Amino acid sequence: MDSSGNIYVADFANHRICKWDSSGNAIGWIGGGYSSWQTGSAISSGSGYRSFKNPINVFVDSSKKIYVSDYENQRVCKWNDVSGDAIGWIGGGSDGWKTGSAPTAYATDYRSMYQPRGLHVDGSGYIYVATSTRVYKWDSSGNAVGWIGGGTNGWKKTDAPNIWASDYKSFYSVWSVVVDSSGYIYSADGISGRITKWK
Amino acid sequence: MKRLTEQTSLLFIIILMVSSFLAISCQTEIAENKDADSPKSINSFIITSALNSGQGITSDCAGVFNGNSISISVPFNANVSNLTPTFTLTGQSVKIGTIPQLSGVSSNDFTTILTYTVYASDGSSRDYDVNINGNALGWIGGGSNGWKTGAAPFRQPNDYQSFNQAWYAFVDSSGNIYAADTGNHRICKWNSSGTALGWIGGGSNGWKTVSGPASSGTDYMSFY
Repeated sequence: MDSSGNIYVADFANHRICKWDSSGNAIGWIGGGYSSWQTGSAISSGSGYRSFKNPINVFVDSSKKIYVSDYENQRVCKWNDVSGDAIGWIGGGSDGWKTGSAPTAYATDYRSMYQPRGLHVDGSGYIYVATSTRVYKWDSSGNAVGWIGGGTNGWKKTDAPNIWASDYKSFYSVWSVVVDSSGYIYSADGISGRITKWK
Repeated sequence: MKRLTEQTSLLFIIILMVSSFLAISCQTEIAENKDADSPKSINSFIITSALNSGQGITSDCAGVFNGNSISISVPFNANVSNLTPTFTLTGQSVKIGTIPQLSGVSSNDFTTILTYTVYASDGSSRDYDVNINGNALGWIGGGSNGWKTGAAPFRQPNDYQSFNQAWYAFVDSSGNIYAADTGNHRICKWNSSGTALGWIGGGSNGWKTVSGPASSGTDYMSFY
């Protein structure tokens, strides 16, 4: 939801992000290679920067930018809510907002995200993205800060295998991440039966 | 004749490989002995407010040691990209890479983990990984109150202090945590101290602290 009460929904199987107003009226959707809000029928998935492949989560920040976990495209996309056009995506092993096609290979380095799930943008513009075993942090310019998890403290820029573990410094099957105004990072670690807290 | 030459070369290569392996092993052994013999350690590591107030450090933040890692939590709004730590050493010097570090003088970008290397007088060294923020604090669930640091419960009971596949969590401005406890068909609420406050759903109003609900429901006060 944004500050005006508009509701944004990740329409996973239709490969689009839908927007509804607070009265329950459908405004339109983005994706499908288009550069503005659409009201036609749903489209197929794609790897271009204006398309999605199974988007699974959406967040809208205070400056009306839309962030999308593009699950099967291994990236997080940023769109302009006002124009309905795509800005670019992060992931794929390098820094910066990119406008090329989605990454084709899966990698474990600190700038690659495998099946991004929950995401949150804090008041300073940092983007937090949950994959199964890590929570990634990116700055607003699209530069990777690092990832947490893997059994140790600290934001890491290392390349390491994804390990599903049950100790308190690891994640097992994280689907969502949220950051409060004090900077505490919470994530719901579904299968392992816990909610974890980091700072 | 040609075959003989090939065999001789092969033998020579094998001998060369074995001998270099032995040489490397020996060197490693010597280095390890040196490590063991010469004391070298970081004994304290603090981000003081006196030196870092301009970066939003309002009170002294001390490093917590765990083997070769030093973890520090600083206020959320602090600028970690330019902090000056104060530390005490046993040993001759400390460096990050090739850059010498002086306590209370050298400042660094602590956005991600930094490795401090302490050198003893004999040249042997020990690495410390210093991280500021990105610290695991614990988890809630598992049938009791409080933030825990043990292994995850991996159980799916429906008492009010446990979760059964909670896939989504949300936090309000007071730090209360709301979890969609999918497998238990309910929404759970915990406070920031890690105390379970109850759950909603199950066909009736109100936050409940009993086990349940017995099943999912389709009425407007239940979840499926």
